[in-house]
Amino acid sequence: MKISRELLSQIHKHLESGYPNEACGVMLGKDGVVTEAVSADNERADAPSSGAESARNRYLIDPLVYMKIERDADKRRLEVLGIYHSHPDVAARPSRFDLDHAWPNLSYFIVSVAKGKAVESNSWRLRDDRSQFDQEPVEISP
Amino acid sequence: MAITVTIPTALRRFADNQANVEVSGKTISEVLDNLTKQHAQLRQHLYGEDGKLRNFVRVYVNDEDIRAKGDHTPVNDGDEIAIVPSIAGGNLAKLDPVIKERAKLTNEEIKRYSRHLILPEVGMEGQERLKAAKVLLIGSGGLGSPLALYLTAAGVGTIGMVEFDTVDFSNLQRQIIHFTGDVGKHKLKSAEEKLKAINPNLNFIPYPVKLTSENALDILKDYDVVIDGTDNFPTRYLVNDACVMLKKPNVYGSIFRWEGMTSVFAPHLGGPCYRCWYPEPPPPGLVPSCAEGGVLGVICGIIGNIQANEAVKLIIGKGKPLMGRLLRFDSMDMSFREYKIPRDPNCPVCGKNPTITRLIDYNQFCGIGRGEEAGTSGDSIVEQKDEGLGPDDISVETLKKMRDANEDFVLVDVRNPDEFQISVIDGSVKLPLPDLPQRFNELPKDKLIILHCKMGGRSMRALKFLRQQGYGKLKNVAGGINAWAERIDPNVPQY
Repeated sequence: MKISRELLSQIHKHLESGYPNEACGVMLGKDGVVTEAVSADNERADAPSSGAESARNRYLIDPLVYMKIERDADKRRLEVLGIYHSHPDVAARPSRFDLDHAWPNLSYFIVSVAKGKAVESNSWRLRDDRSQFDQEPVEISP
Repeated sequence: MAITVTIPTALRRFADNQANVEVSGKTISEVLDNLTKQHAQLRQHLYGEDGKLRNFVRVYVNDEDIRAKGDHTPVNDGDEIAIVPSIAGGNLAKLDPVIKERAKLTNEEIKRYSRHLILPEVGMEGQERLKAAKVLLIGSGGLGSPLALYLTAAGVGTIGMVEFDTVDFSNLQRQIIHFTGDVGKHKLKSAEEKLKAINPNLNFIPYPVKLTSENALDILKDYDVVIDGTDNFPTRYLVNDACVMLKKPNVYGSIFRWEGMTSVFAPHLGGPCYRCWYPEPPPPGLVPSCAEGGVLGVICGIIGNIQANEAVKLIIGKGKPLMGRLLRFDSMDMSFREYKIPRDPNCPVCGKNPTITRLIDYNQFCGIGRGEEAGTSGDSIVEQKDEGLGPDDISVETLKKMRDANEDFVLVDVRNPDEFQISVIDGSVKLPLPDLPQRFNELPKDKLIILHCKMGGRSMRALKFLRQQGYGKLKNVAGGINAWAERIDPNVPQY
């Protein structure tokens, strides 16, 4: 996956602003190069923060919102390349929950946001047999 | 019929890179089935191992989510079906403690709880939360006994207990908080003595009442965790609904014969509630109670202690709660199985648009009226008092008079054969309820038939069945053989 420094910092800013909740969005582009990052509302935001499952540790993009983003991308001849989301105060590696809910052929770009600051970013892809994620290299262009 | 299916980018590689695929079919499921036949690699991403659509796969027909209608929804020529990813994920579930307060430990308490304090997950912080915690137990029976004992020992500072019954000999096989010398004593008194013996500093709050729609909210409102140890449906729904309305976690447990089930219901923490799992109760009588079906006493300890374990986790905010998961225990196989309980967005209590916003009449909701058994606490069964006789009931006193007067009737015992070995009323015809549909012809239609069981519930079902078969002269012995033993013949044992 290739992304510009500017877009990366835009993603980091968005995820930091969501702290301590998880925030998320969709990455659009072509041929493995991200050219746009579209932020999406975390539908879990209305769940209370004390819960075992809340926006503190879960994100969910409304399917209709996702459908709109994808249709819009199709029109502009762009592809959905991946999903980015934050892991507040935990490592930037996919959880079992991420694996259970993952889609193939997408980059899952996870950013660890520790105490409100983006500290680590990794990108992952689901294997076709759904057995696990593999880390993919991220090339940052200036 | 040709239907256009839109494939999301993520799956296009498995559909020859097409955005739209033409597929035939009359219903959604037929269309999706044909689609995955054409493009086999799609299947494992759309369907889980259970053969159902994965929960993060949404299907829209002409931009309408079909989830509520089901995948047997018919589709018409020209319809557009879109497969849409519900993009979800997140890190490991972390649980905040359900209570924020902490109560400082004394030096004596530090010594008492040392084995907890050196557990990193509990520590001083967790133990101080336990001390500050207020837990309400509904019932002090089979489940309530181990729950109360272990939670008190664990250092829970305040335990409330709702119970209206007194200790009976038949309780002692499983209700381990009550001892032989307590028979006849109020269960709350008996429980308090044992709990205070374990921890004299326990704040024990007794509620010597039946939990009802009128008092439930008032009793529950001051507690952090509610634990349901009841064995009847009206109270179970009452506790569930009250907990949802008050945003209290409800640690559920139930036992029957050699099995038990347990889960944590807490919609306000993201999980389902009892109604998401069972929207409506079974017809009265379909599920026998422990008093009718029996229960291995040991099971109470196993299930009750799992409930205690979950309550502790909720209080200290550690681990993964048994939320959205039902744990089913079978002691004959010695196996635990876990079932997922999804949250129902259309649940009448915890859904997006709840229709039940205050407590209702739960006996009516569960179809329980006269002649049906319904306890509201622990293992108790409401006794049918003489003044409460229904039109089909006769009292044991009347039965005695009719026998003494040599009146012409047939007394039928509908209990199970195992129970005949415990006690019988002399001269009864033995015809177990499960055999009745095959054997009812053995009973004469021209004579009065008087039915009895242990307490009057099953014999009332037998009566209703016989009435449907055209029997006209039927009576049910209110209170069953136990009432007979208690009030007529002391030589007959009660059980």
